[in-house]
Amino acid sequence: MEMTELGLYVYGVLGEDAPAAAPELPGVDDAHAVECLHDGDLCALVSRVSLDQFEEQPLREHLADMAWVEHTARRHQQVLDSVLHRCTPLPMRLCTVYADEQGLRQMLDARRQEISAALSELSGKLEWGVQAFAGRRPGSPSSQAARAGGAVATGTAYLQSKLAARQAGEAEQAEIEAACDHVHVELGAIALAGRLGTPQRPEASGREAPMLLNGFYLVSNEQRERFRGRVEQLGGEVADRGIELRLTGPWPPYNFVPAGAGEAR
Amino acid sequence: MTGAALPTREVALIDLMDRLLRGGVVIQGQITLSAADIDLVGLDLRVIVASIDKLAGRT
Repeated sequence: MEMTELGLYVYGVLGEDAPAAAPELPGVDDAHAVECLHDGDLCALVSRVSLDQFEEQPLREHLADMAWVEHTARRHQQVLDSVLHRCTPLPMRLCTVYADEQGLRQMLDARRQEISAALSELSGKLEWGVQAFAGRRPGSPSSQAARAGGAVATGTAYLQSKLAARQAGEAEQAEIEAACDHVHVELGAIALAGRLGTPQRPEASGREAPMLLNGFYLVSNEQRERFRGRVEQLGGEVADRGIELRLTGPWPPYNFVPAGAGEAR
Repeated sequence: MTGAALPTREVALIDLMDRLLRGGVVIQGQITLSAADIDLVGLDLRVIVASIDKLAGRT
């Protein structure tokens, strides 16, 4: 059997609050379990992978294979999720691989100060996602006008009803946007930081209703119940505009990695 | 925080991919490239989104 060289896939880096033992989980390669690589105060969560799978061409092919991508992504997520109840990991982007332990230790050593500072900064904090989906209310002015327009026979009246529907739609749209702005502002007041991501298209979100808000929030663990409560409250407030809020999380702080923890790109 | 692990929850692949491909620490791995070197925002994310739909039987 041909021996293939093994490298290290890195999921994330932990600080002094790392667990005593590595989570008992398989890595992105089923054959190799997750390990903790300790280097000073830092602890990298890693697992061994065949290096030939992560060279440029094979990696490109893998990244075009949805099954491989999903498997790798979910393993990556499971590993970091397993420590979220006790600490905030500094999450690596997908597919960060080192040829050997020495290379990883060199990186940790070179960036020790920035990584430690980032871990300190993020300690006791986790990321949450809040998305808003807009659906037309059955009794809304624009949907009523649109229905009325369908019953009209004469040309002028038809055009007038279309105009009314459009104007009602625009006013409604403005109210919906204001409601989503309000949600983001309110959540930003409880969170330590908030960011707006690009709303997902229906093909991506899997929902027909357009996504209007794709917010990411860094929330301290002490405030998380208050944050969740506020999301529920706001959900009730915006429901009469047909808006539905969706809370996801907690996540490792993918969107709140302090500048300097990685390389500037 | 208590010592209990958080219950497993359903994570939408698109929400996960968005974070794993766009966020997180970007450090050049020793291997030729990390996912960051491939332009995954934009072109590949569209490919991935199209593939997610196929996987979910939506296309």
